[in-house]
Amino acid sequence: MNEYSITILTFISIQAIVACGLNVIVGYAGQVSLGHAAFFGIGAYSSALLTTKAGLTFWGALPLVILITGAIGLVLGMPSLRLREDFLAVTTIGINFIVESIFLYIPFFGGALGLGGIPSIAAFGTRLRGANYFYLCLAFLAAVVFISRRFTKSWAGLACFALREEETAASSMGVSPIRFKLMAFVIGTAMAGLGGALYAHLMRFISATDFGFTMSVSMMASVVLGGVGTLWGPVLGALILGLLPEIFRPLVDYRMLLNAAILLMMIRFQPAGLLGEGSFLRGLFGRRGGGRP
Amino acid sequence: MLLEVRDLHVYYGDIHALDGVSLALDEGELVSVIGANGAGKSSLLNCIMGIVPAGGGKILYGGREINNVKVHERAAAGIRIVPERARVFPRLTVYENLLTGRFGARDKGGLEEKLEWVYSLFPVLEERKTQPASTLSGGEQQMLAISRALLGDPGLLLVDEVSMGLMPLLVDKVFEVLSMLNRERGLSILLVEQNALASLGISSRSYVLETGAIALEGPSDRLLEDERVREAYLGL
Repeated sequence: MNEYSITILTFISIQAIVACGLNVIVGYAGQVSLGHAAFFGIGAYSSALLTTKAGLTFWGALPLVILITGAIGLVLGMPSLRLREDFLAVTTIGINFIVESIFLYIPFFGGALGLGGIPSIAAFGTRLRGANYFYLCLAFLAAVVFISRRFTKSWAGLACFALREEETAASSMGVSPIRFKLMAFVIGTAMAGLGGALYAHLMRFISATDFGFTMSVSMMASVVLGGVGTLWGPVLGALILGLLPEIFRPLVDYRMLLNAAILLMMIRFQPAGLLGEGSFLRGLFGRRGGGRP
Repeated sequence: MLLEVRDLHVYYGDIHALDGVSLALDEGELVSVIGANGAGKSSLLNCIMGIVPAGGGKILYGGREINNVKVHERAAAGIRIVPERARVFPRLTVYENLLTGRFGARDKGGLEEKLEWVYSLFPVLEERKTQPASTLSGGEQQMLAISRALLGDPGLLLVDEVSMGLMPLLVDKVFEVLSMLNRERGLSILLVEQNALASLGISSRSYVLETGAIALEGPSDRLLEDERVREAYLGL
C-alpha cells in the first residue's frame, strides 16, 4: 500500500473510533447528539496542549485526555440530557458552536492560527509514522469496538436499551433515566476524546474549524449509514464515507452534500442502516455483525 | 397501612382527572378499583407510581410520604406497576425484558430461582425467551409485564387494566395467577379494572371510581350485591 492509501485508512479508523462513541450515545441510549465533533475537538486540543505546553508524551497525556473529555461530557450532559429529544438535538448543536468558538477566539487555544508543533507519537523507541500509525489507530479502534460490545452485554447497556424503548416503563422498573443516559454520554464522549488525540498527533497541527458542526454531521452520517445501535455499523459507515470521495474524485468538493444526501436516503429507505434490522445487507449475509437491534 | 392515598388530585392542564381520591391498602390485601373508561383509574395508578405528578393530596407508602420521590426510587422502594397495554420493551427479547425487572430489586441474588418461578407461572415465556417481545400476542405481553414486575420483588403491585383486549380464557388465567400470588405469597395488589365482575371476584375490598372521585367502597362481596354496582358495572 502506498503512503496515500495508508493516510486515508488512518483517517477512516479515527473517524470510526469517534463514530463508535456517537453510536453509544445515539444508538444504545437513544439520545440524539448533533455536537459530537465538540468532544472530538476537546480531545485533540487537550492532547495538543498537554504535549506541547505541559511537556507530556502522547502516552502520558492520553489517560488525562480521555478523563478531561469524559468529564466535560459529564458536565455538559447533566443539564442537556434532562431535555426532550428535539431540544437535546438543538442543545448539542449549540454546544458544538460554543466549543468551536472557544478554540477560535481564545488565544490560549491558538486562536485562528490553531495549534502547531504537536509531537508525533513514539513507541518502542521509534516515531510512529505511516503504516505503524495506522496500526496504532486500528488497535484503538479494536479496543473501542470491544468496549462497545461489552457495554451492550452489561446491565448498564440493558438499562440504556430499556430507556431507549420505553422510558416510562424502564424508570418504573427502577432504572434511573439520567444516570444511565449520562453514563452512555460520558463513554461516548471519552471515545471521541481518544479519536481527537489520535487526530492531533497525526496532523501535528490542528485548528478550530476541524471540529465544526459539519464534522458532527459527518459523524452522524457514518452512524446512520452503517446502522444506528449496531456494533459494526459506525465502522462500516466511516469506511464508506471515507472511501467514496477517494474512489470518485469529483465527490471531494461535494462532501457535505454527499453526507446530507446519504443521511436523507438512509432515513427514507433503510432507517435501520446497512447493518440494522431488516436491511438488505443483513438479508444477504444472514444475522451477522449486528450486535444488537 | 402499606399504602395510603389521601385526598389525591391529578390535573392534565384544565382537566381534573382525580378529584380528591382517598383509599388505603393493608399489607397482604388485594384491593380493586373499578370504574368506567375515563373515570381516572389509570391516573390513580400512574400517580401512585410517580409517572404523573400529584396536583394535591398525599401518597404514603409504608407510612412515608412519597409525593416527591422519583419514579425509579419508588420502584426501588418496592412499588411495581403492570402498565396499561403492558408496555414491554418491543425490541428486547423476552429474557432481556425479564432482566429489566431486576434493576430496582431489593434482594439482588437468586435470579435463576426467580426466573424459574415466573416461567412456572407462565410457561409460554420460557418457550419464547429468545424472541423479541414485539412478537408476543397481547396476552403474552401482559404475562411478560406481570413477570417483569414480579422479578423486582415488589412490596406492592399495581395492576392497570390487565384484562383489556384479552380473550376470556386468558383473563381467567391471569386473574387466577394474581389471586394465587396474593393468597399464597401474601403479595399486596392494587388492581384497577374495567372488568368489574372478575376483579370483584378476586379482591377482598373494592372502590368504585366515578369521574375522578370514589363513589362507593366496601367489601367486594357486598358490592357484588349492590343494586347500583350490578346495574352500572355488571349489566345485571
